Amino acid sequence: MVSEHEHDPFIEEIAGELRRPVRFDSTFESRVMASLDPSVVPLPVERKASTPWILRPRPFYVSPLAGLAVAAGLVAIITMSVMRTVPDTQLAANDPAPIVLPGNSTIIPVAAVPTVYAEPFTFIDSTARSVAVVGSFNGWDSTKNVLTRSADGVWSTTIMLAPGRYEYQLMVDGKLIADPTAQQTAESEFGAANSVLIVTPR
Amino acid sequence: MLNSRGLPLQNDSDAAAVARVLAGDTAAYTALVTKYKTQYARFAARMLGNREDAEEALQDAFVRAFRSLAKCDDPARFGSWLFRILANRCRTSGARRGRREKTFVRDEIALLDASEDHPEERAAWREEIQLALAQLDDDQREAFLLKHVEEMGYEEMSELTGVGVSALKMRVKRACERLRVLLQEANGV
Repeated sequence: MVSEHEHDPFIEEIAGELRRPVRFDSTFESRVMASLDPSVVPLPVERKASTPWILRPRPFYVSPLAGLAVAAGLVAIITMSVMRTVPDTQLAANDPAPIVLPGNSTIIPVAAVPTVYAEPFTFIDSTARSVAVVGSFNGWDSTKNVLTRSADGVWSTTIMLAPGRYEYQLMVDGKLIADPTAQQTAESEFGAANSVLIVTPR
Repeated sequence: MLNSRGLPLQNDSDAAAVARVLAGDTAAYTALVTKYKTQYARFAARMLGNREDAEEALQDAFVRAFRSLAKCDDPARFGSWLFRILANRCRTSGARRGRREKTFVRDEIALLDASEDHPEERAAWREEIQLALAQLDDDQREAFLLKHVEEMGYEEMSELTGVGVSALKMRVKRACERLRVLLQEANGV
């Protein structure tokens, strides 16, 4: 039995004592922050700056014959993976057009795009120099969804999102602000409230 | 899904703070230090047995996390990621200390969190607990603290430590048995 100690009063008494808080002196935070001085520790680089090893290009060499064989194999695999065989009765009304094969079976292409909806983001400020959306849908990464400015100072972008609840903020010239057009907000520990976007199936 | 009672391991506001730091607002890191220092100070102090080593380990963990912030794949789980860095740092410190000296030296940790209105016997009991804890193997001590002090589930512990659930259960079981023997010996039971 490995769980016999989970509710052991003796062990619980020991754990209770060990759960008492341990306090460092009041200068701990300032010491940590001082050691983060950019002259001592370089600022973190943006995620895009480093390419994961798995995505780095690597050269490899194959003979022409082997290349043809690999290409033929890939075509076969891709062809099989984008088609599925189903009975006629299971075809939904909005499925792609079926292809009837000899022998009463039917193949249809598998839908390539999951159900997502175009959500527009708009921000009006003709003096802003850069505007981006950061949120739970993009890992709060300010490089992923940058708004583009029209001639009349309207910043906009469209993000494809699956149904769900998302929290986000606008990053305007490097500063985070709540979206003034958001229908809902949620409390944030760090100043400006998060804006809330609810994407529902349509 | 992590469901720790003790560690706030998933939080959208952490993701917002991380985004600010990555955007160049270094001061935003203060919020993360403030948020996690108290709870993680306890873990480090219990693991290492003295305040100086614990402070050094936690400060180093915060600095390492800052330097590697761009590699934090899920900023909403910054707390979990930081904890892994701290746990690794404590293991390294424990190994170094183990080579330096095998016996636990009386330390201030047991007295550090004793409020003045507690009787001396209580402080002595706490010190005995800390002494017994220090005699456990590092792996057993870590597993015991995560399970019984930080009140984590085994799945969650496994995710944090990279050790299988069965092995963790065995470590906790042996830690409990060893603590019981050590503390009963200390009290002449």
